[in-house]
Amino acid sequence: MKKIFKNLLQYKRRILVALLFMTAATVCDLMLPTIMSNIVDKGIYLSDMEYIKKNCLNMFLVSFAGLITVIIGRKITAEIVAGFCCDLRRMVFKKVNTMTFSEINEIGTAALITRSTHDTDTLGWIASIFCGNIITIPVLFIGGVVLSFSKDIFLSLILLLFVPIVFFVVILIGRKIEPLWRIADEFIDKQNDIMRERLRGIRVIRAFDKEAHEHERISEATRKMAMNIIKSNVSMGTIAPLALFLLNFSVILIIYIGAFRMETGASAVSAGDIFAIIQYVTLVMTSIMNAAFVIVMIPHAKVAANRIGEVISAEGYDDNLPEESFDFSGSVVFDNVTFKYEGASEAAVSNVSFEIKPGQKASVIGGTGSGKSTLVSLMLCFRIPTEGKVIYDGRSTDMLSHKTVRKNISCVLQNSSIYSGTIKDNILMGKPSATDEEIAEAAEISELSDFINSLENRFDHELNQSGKNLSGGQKQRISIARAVIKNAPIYIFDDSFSALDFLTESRLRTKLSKKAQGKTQIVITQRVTSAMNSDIILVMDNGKLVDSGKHSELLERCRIYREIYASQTGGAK
Amino acid sequence: MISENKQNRVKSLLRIFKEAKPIWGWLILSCFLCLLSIICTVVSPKMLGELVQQLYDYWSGELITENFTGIILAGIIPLGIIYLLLSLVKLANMYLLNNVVSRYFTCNIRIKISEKIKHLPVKFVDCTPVGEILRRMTDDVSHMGTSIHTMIETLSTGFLQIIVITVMMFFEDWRLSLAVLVITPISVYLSSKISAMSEKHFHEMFTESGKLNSVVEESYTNYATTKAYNWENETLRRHEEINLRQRDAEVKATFISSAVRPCIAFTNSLAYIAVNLLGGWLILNEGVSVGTIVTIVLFAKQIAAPLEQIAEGLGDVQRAITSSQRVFDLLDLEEEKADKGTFGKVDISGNVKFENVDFSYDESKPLIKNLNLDIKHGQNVAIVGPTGAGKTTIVNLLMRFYDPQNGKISIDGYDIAEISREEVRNLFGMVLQDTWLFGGTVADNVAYGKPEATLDEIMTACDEAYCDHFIRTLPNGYDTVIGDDTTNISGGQKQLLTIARALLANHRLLILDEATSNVDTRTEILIQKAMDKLMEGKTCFIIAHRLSTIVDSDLILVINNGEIVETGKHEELLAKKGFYYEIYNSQYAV
Repeated sequence: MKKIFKNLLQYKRRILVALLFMTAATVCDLMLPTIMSNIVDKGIYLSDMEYIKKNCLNMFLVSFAGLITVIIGRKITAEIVAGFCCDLRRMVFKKVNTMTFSEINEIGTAALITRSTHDTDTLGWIASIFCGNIITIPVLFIGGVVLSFSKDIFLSLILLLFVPIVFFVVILIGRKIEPLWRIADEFIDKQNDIMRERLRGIRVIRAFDKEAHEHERISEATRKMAMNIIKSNVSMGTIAPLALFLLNFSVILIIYIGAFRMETGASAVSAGDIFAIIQYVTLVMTSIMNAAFVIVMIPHAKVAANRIGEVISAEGYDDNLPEESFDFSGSVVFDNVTFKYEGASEAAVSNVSFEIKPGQKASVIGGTGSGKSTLVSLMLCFRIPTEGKVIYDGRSTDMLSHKTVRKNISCVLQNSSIYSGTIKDNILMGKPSATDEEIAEAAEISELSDFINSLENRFDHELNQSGKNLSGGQKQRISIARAVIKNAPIYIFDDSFSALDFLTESRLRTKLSKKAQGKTQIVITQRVTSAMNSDIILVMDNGKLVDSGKHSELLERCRIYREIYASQTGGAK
Repeated sequence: MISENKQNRVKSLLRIFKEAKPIWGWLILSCFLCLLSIICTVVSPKMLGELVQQLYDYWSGELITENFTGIILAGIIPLGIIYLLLSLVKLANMYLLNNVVSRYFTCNIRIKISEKIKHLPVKFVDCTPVGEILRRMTDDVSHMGTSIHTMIETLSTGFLQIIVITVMMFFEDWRLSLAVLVITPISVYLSSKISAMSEKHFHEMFTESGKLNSVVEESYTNYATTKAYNWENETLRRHEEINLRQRDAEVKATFISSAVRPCIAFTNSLAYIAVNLLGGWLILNEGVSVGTIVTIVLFAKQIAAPLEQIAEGLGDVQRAITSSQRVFDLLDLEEEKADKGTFGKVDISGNVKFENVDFSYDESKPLIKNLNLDIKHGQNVAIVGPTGAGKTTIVNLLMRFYDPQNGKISIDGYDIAEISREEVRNLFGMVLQDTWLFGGTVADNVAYGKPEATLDEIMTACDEAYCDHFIRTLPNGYDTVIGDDTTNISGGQKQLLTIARALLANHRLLILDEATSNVDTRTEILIQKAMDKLMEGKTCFIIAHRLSTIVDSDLILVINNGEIVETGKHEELLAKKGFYYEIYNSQYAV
């Protein structure tokens, strides 16, 4: 919370200037009713045309000054608020980008996205409401009260009597609306979810002849949604008429008591004074209503600020070792590596030791949950071994900058990552300096050529966010092209061929082996056929390395490998 | 895709009214309430003006009376009643409109959309982004609802108010009224101009904000890859670029929009000055009363509000028309051709025949050409071929998700084009690669095709599909609530549930489209028995990547580029050394 508002400090001079202008503008606003009542009181009533002219000029000058100061004030405020939001977004985004994988897992990707977008927006929105009112509310309130007191103390007391009433009415209703809004939003989401579900499952629904049933579900959700929207709208709608009534009622009271005091001679209040006080009532009530709204917002802001605070206070990691320029030879050694996810009772991988020599083709095979992907995380320094060491060219990863390690690995991860931008942009991530020929070569190796040729803009074809306009196979092949163009000493493919048919995979890997000659290739897979031609196959089961060796050796001595093999090939040789 | 049909805007507006037919009566009532509140708002300043006049008169000694408070009280009580009435009428109207519009207008349109989707071809859903349909159903319909509010509350009452106020003002003094009538429209024009200017920047700000959100979402979901490619700085740079653009747009948008009110206030001051200068002159030269001036000053203040409302309301209605056009486009889409349903309910054994079938999704790219197949009941037919060859298309045709352009598909001699779609689909059970579960309990999901199934039947089916065990490990067993995006069960487990669903529904024909692709191979052996049971005595269509699962099929169709290039049993096809041979061996050639 503190950290968030520290950001505002750098704007302190501008905040001061804005405060000055806004105060001036509000003072102008406050002066108007007095001038207006004077014109009527002393000018019109006493038929003093000179007075009228003079004060009309005054009024014009004050209005004009008000206009200019408020515009300048608002301009500066807008700059401060937008700047604050911009800083906030940058701060959160930067922080998340230095978080460790376990910190990210702890908060969760979806929650992080909400915090970096929705929560920062909420805070910014509230900040703008705050800044828009922070000056006007107190100045209007104090000014309005002081000025009306200067007219008539007793009548002003009536005004003060109504202040807490309006204030509490607005706060009371505001508090009630808050949860109603949230509930209404939930129902809207629910209805949307059911509809999305129905559209996604249209085939299954029609296959089971369930359209009528789904329609009924949606109708019901829609009706519930309508009821909840009504509830929140109706309670929101009560504020304005209620406040209007209170305002009008106080006006009536002031006139009546004013008349009474005039008659009894209790005060020398003039008709013009009463008229002015009525105008001040409007000003003060408006400021009170705004204040109440701002107060209703505070819990909202607190929630958002706390959630953002959680992100900002994350420790993150320091990759403070210098990035080195040397190239790995391609040897990968695991020395008795154990890794346990924080909070887990059992290790994800335990006591794993193996050696992959430069230029070897290695495969890791095993079922889901066997710990295969954890090995990849360890190799890429996403995770740090709980015990043991991951060693490249004789140097343990704790002696190497993560950047150095990652620079030396061409990897394709399990969920192919596609970024919005062109296909070319996506491939170029592997090697930003690559020429068009290199890009075409990488695409050819990755079996992308046919697909790209079928596109109107070829490599400049725009991809949607997360590649929503691509099939699973196309995404995988683009990710592979990205790794190919990087052509680092070590290739890692984590289940990267699963969406490709065998024919495509086989062609791709033949071409890849030619390109990556002399480079180490590590393939993580469930498919035995993807693994069987490797120089070394590591069989993982339940976080342990059960056995390693060549296909023929394993077929002979490793039961689990035999089982996997038999299940996938029907036992054919 | 829904075409953005440029319907006539006036027609769309009329159609909104037509759609609102069920609530016409209520809307008229609401108009009546609005009229009441206008009368109140117009009468009250007049009464207030008179009271102030009396105060002046008494204060200056022009009015001499013993019972001054009595006179004031006599004026104040009706004013209080009017004020009370005004708030009550506003409250009632707000309550009425909200209920009527949400309950009978927007809700009905949404249900109509849902009803419409029932009758739209699968092709429409395939080609239209889900978000596109959802947006029409929520936001666009909301805009239409708001437009009803706006039209009643602001437009009609706004216009009425202006007319009444103008008349009343002229009644008081025509010269002063003229001064007001000249100046206020200027302020409205100015404010609408400024609003339009800020609108542009708001739009830009929202666009940039949307882009920024995509960058955030993208870089968080791709976190690992971003790190692996040392791409953090590039991501930060991209983020900052958009972030700054959003900031600049935000400054302009909020600043310009915040200038509207001060500008209006300023022109109002000008009107006030004008009224007073003119008023002073009139009092001196023409003997107009102070009360008249005060009343007109109050009217001048009041007339600005409806003018502002109208400027705002017109924008709302514009947006509602655009939205309604998008909704109407959806409601007017061509529906699936009505079923002939010549045969009614059919009893079949499962012989499937394709005769000279041609089909394409996109007319310029023919996909299936002259396909002929003859499948006897109880046979297992495997469909293999590279990705995009048209394997799933055959499923689409069999289940009448799409109809062929030429040729005929028949089951036991019945042309499926002449059986109702529901009936055709009723003949098939299916397990798809893309598992689909709806938000509900595990038991509900399994019983989807047979709602009357008992819990015992459900459990037996789950047991056979090898998912009974894992269901019992879930927090609430069979009553655990799951959904399409559920994360507490894995992709493989989802697939097992859909297999159990098909087992329970027990149809005569079966389609397995990569039915075990997400199940790991060792579990697959375990459920093989369940699959065998599922397939027993049924005509099955099996699509699979893993050729090991189909070597025993009675007939293998090898599809490439939409054509059947080879057919036969596994051994025959291998012996041919053709395309199948190539695919089969490619699994071992890696």
